Amino acid sequence: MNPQFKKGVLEMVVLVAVSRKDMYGYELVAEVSRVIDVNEGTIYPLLKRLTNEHYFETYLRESSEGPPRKYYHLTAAGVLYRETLVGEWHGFWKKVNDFLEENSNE
Amino acid sequence: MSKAEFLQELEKRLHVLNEKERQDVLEEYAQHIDLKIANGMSEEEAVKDFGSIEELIAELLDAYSINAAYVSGGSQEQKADGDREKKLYQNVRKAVNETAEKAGQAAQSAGKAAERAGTRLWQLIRHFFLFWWNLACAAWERICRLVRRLTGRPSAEEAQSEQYQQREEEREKMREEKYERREKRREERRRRYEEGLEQRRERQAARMAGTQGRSWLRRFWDGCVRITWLCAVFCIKGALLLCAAPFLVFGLFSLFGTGMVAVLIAQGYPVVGIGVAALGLVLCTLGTVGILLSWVFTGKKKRENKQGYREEETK
Repeated sequence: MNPQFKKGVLEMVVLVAVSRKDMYGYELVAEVSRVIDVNEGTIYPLLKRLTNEHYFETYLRESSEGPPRKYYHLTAAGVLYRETLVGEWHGFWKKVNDFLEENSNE
Repeated sequence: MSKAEFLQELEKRLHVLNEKERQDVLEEYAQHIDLKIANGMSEEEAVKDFGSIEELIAELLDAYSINAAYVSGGSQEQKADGDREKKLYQNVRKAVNETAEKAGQAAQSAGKAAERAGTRLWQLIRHFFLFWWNLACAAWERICRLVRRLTGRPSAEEAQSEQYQQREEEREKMREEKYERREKRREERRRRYEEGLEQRRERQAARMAGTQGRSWLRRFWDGCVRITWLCAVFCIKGALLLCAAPFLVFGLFSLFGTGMVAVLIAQGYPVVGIGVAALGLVLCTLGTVGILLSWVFTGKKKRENKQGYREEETK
């Protein structure tokens, strides 16, 4: 897939994934990889950025399988941002789709 | 690249971040690699999945709004400019250091020269002053000698030595007199002490003789008194016993009578009054005997108690 497409939707996919339930990094990478195939390393910088912009907040939870894991939780600002992105996506997707359908018919 | 190398490189390249943030990033990546290894991957494969480390670092720095080009050192031109600046700075620094060193050395030499000059000057002044002072003292001494010779008076030294000798002789004399007086006093004290000792011994001997005689007399007198007392006590107790005997006999008869009356009462004879009277007699006589006997034997108990008290007091 075109890496620019992936780059465009990655942020939204991450926000939507975390909005369902709090996740830690590895879990989130696995979840996002189901939808789009991205470099795992790029997820963490994205998570850092979204945390610095206060869309996420983090906390540690003890784990029976090893050291405590850092979980990401969507803040209220994150919820709003997610809604905005999803709304923009729907609008964008519809317009692009309509345009493609118009041009394919011709 | 192994996990350790990856994390080391990441740490080096993220030096611009603060310690906490850097550690946070490293821990996340380390944990991710560990989880991948736990799922069956090798370290190299886990690290490879992260992609290019340069892109990763750029994205991480971007997340903190830091320009990656600035951190990495910029483009080739910027690097060349930097090198030139560095070289210029080093040259200037070297020149300044050399100049400062030379100036320091010059100042040090000047200081040493000044020190030598100052020392020399001080020595000259000192010699000059001492020379004139010694000259003046010698001249004064000569003048004084001349004056003494002309007037006929002894010199201060001579006078001093005569006076000193006289004083010494007087002191010696006083010391000897003091010593003699002390010896006399000591002798006197010793003589008086010996006389006193003799007298004390005589008095002590007389006292002991007197004490001994008195104690003998006292003991004799105490013995006499004791014997008299014992005889009196013996007589009194003997009299009491003699008094008690008829009472005892009478008591026994009363007891016998009481027994007989009791038998008659038991048989039904109206002799209760007589029986009571007989009983009363018995009790009276027994009581009297008891009192008399207690007078006889109380003294022994008192003596035993007294002895006990005396022993307690001495303890």
